Amino acid sequence: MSLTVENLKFAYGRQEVLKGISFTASEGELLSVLGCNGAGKSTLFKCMLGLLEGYSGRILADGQDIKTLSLRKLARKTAYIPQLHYPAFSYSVFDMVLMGTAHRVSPMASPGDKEKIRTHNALEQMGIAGLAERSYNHLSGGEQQLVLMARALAQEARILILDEPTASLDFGNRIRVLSKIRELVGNGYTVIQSTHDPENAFMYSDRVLAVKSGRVIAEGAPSEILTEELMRELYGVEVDVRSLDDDKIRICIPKNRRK
Amino acid sequence: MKKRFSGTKVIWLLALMLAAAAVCSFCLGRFSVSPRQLFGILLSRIIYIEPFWTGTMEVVVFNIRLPRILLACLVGCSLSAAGAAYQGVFQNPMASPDLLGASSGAAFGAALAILLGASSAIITLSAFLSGIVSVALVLLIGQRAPGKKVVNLILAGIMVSSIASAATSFVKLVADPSNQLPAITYWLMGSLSGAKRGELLFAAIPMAIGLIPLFAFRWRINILSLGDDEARSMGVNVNMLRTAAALCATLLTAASVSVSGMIGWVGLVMPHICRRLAGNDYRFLMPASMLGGAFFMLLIDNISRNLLSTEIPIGILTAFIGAPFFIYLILRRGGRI
Repeated sequence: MSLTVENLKFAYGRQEVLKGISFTASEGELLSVLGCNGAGKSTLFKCMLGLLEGYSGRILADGQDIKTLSLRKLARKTAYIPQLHYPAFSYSVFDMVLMGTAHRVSPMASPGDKEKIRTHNALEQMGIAGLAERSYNHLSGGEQQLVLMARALAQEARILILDEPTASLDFGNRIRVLSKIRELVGNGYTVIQSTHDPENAFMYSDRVLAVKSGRVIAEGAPSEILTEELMRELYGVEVDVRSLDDDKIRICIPKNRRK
Repeated sequence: MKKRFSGTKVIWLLALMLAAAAVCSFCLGRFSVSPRQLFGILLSRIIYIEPFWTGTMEVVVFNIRLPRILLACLVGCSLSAAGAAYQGVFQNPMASPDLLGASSGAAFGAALAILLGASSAIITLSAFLSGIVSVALVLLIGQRAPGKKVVNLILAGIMVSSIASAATSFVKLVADPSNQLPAITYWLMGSLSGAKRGELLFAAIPMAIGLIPLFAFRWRINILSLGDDEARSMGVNVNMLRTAAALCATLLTAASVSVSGMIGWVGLVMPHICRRLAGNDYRFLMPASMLGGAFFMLLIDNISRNLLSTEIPIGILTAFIGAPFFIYLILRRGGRI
């Protein structure tokens, strides 16, 4: 399943936030969206998830305009993995993942055995079946992120949209979560993530989209994006970009640092 | 939150406690009936039994205690279910049935009707309708305001409530201090002493209309409590579900207040006690809150009837018992409710 955005424009009142964004994320591809705070990443994601209406342009999920899809049908195509936050009430990991099956359950019913099996499979797939009975609010950030990903799998959507999945994670969990994301991409999921980390975007993504003030200023393979010029333009900082290991890795070294 | 027992066990336990409390309520009172006599009286309606009780006992059981027990159960169940629903759909552990102004609106309606010298049926009706109108107003304001829906609704609720409270104060000010003012004050403190068959029927219909849907879509309330964006992305129609739940909870609150006056705390405290017993999953929390609320209200009503020679208004008792218990919960859990 692919996701295509065509000339997307959106404004909050008079303030234009998205000024004509186009791109396609193909099946089995990890697309990272880079950009500083306020560049329009969150608005872009909300539009793709059908959470914001009143945009102009088209968004196609699996070739279908999402405006023509009901909420339930859209939920079968795209799943949202939000930034980590603490829900007002704590649920068990199993109950949390079970909620992903909501679009299969009629509004007046509770989930049955089929949904529970799906939930169990999603937990297995993410390798967190052992956490099923734990309380979600008491997990580490990395575990919570994996639970939210399991919920997206239980939802059966093939397009996963992740809002800064590694932002609040420690070093180890960041790597764990990113390798799980890579594993899902390998299984044919289409993954779109926003990130503040250009180096990780370079190492893990298939393609990078650089967004500034509501416009795409660059799009392409990570090696085309992670350059000194673009980092200056995107973030307004001077860095040396160095290449390591046959250009499999690039690191950004700030110019004003300890000598 | 760690739950101590499985949800189903908690529900059975609460059902048993409720049944036991109902038996006690039949027997206790100025006119005492022994459990043996009670079962005789109840059973004699189905099969013939040689009466070993007096006719007065039968009248007390059927005409006085039965309506009052049923009303106490319905009111407790409704307030507690409404509180649990509001907490989930507004993602706010501190939400209670008066969140959207249903109780303050109903109180104003009752006070106004008493001021105008209306009959008790009209007082009930006026309270019910003005409770509904207040919430309709809140929903209308919340829909029109830009920005976060949940915050707007809560703010609109606070504002409409305070307008209704001010209006109630004004009604008290102009009321006749020799008879109307005490009547208003007593009504506002909450009581089930007026329980008659007519009021019971009047309250039962809106309560059933409110309770059945809340019970049916209780699992979805879990998803709503995660936040609007997440719930929508999972295919849940957030606005429709929240509006439906708020309307049901409003029906419950307005119906309760209109027959029993202002009874605070039940709708906030009971769902939290049930959260500690049955966990946060609404599949178990909602029925547990319904049963727990009914049990708590029966208990309070028994104290109200039997502790002193005069009846103590229920609103006073729920505050005296509910608030310290809530303080205890906060101290134990450090605000992580």
